Amino acid sequence: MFVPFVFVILFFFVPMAWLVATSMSTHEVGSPPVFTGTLEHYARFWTDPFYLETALWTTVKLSVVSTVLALIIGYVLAYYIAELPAHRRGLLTSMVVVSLSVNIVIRIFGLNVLLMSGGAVDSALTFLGMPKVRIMYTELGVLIGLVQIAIPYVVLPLIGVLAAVDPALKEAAESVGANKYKTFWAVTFPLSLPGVVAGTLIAFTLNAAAFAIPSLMGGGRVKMMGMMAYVQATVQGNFPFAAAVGISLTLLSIVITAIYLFVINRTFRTARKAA
Amino acid sequence: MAEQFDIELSHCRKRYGAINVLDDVSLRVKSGEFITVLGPSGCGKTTTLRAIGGFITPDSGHISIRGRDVTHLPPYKRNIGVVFQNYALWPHMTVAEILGFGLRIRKLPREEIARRVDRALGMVQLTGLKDRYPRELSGGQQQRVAMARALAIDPEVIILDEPLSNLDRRLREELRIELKRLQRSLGVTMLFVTHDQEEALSMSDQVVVMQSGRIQQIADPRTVYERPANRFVAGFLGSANFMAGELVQNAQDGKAQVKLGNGAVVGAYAPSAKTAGEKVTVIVRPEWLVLERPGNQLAANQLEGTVGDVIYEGSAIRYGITLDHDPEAPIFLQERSNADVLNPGDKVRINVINAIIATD
Ligand SMILES: Nc1ncnc2c1ncn2[C@@H]1O[C@H](COP(=O)(O)OP(=O)(O)OP(=O)(O)O)[C@@H](O)[C@H]1O
Ligand SMILES: [Mg+2]
Repeated sequence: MFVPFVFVILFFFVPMAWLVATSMSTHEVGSPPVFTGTLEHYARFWTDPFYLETALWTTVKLSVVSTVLALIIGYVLAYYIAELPAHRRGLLTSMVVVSLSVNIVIRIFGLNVLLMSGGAVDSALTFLGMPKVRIMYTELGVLIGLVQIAIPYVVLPLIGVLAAVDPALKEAAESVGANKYKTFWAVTFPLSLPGVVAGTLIAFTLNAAAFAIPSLMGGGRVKMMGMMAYVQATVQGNFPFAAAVGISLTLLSIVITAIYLFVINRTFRTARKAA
Repeated sequence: MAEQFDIELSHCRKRYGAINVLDDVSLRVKSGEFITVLGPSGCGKTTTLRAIGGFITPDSGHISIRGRDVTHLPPYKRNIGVVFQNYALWPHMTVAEILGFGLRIRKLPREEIARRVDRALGMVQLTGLKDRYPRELSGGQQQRVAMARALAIDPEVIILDEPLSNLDRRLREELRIELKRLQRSLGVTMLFVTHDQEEALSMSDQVVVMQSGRIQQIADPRTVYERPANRFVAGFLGSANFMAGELVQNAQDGKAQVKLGNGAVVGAYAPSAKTAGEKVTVIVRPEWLVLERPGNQLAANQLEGTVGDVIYEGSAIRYGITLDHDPEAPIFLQERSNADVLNPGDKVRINVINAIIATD
């Protein structure tokens, strides 16, 4: 019982506290940060239109949109897998798990090959006579990367909840006159909500903090906050500002998550009451 | 025009891998009838019900509801009320939402839905539990909600898959009576699946006895019990003693005289024609055997034996008896428990008051 607590305190709370302290320290080039309790770095981030319009907005937009797309694609995939007989379900589920364990950089390079100019997607579009679109090193490229990274995290919890829905519940809906479509929205989907929430929360928090994908697929043009913090810390050497960006990002994720959970709760309460 | 049935299955077959789960199943249910499908586990009862409900399609054969061929219709186009074995109540809906779901799909006006939900709740005596979720209900209450959900859509027929088997004995017997009363008062046609013979005998107008995907007999409860079509039916419903014998004369009009091993001659029902001298097996129910005080002369229909097991069952006592003439085949005899109790080892004389000649 004791060891886990020590572990969490040592390796989570201590670094977090150090990060918070750093974000409230002064920054002098050439000398280490000194803690003064200043909020100047936060003020700089949250008032400068440059940071708000590029970093903040890009981060929120890309992480929310990629989560929604990952949910839609992941739901269809999970639904298909959950309907399979148990033995084949196991195989496909482990394929999803394996895809998670492939190193993120390797997955990104795989995507690069597919999406780069002259790559498979580009050639296919050209072949079909479509106008040339740039995907790599654009927001679209980063979005595709974020979606593909997030899908397994959405699919896994959904397979669990969808496979656990008693088929008799769906049959009961059909017996009182609901077609497949109505049965899905009245029974299957509400019962899968815990999986939807779990999957989207993981996907969103991961993508909001994304660093590797915007770095490698955005070519420095697509500025997300995680990447910006990295650049501030390593290139500019401005640790306090980097820490402030990092803490801001964390707070932003928490706020968006809270709003999301609140809305989910409300809609599904009232939708039921009204029906 | 041919007579119309509420449920009609003709020559339905269904095969899963190498087994025929439904093997030429045909049955007809008249309007307002309560029909029970009875049989051992795995005989195809649920499959029959699922075919009627539309959850599976038979490989061949036809199913019609009130004269309409529904063989290839999906469940939601059939208008059949279904009560599932584990109730299948939607855990995220309240009782009122569960009952109203089918009505909302039918786009009934709000007040009409409320009225019909209330009426269905009244039928199953659950008024006042509208806002509960299924997990907040007892097993018996959940069963009633499942029943009310099937009733609320005003179905053409209701099919039920072992709806009482998850309840304790007392509640099961209570609900059995209630369900039967409800069915009779509404005049709704019901097809009820069970493996409990008591349930089948006490509730049904017709009992369908199945074994390995085949229908063995369809008849009213008295007939399946007293005139079982074959050895399986006799053994499955109630208990049965089987005794070897020989026909004394040709069986005619269902009546026959059978000479048992010790020379005792008993009157028996013969379902089919038999000629004198033929070896037969007779089926004798434990309550068709009556204990006789030992006297001097052995009457024509009497057997002699020794008491083995004595099993006290509350309202009755069951004796295992070894017959003098055939110790290899002990039989059971049942007597009301207010009679004097015999002890193991007692010599007894038994009157055989009824018997049936077993076919195949
Ligand atoms: N989807 C299926 N795939 C393969 N075999 C099946 C399937 N459904 C049923 N069976 C088989 O069909 C046979 C009949 O099953 P069914 O469920 O109709 O039996 P039952 O009479 O309802 O039994 P119980 O009293 O145990 O509920 C069983 O041997 C069962 O294993
Ligand atoms: Mg069954």
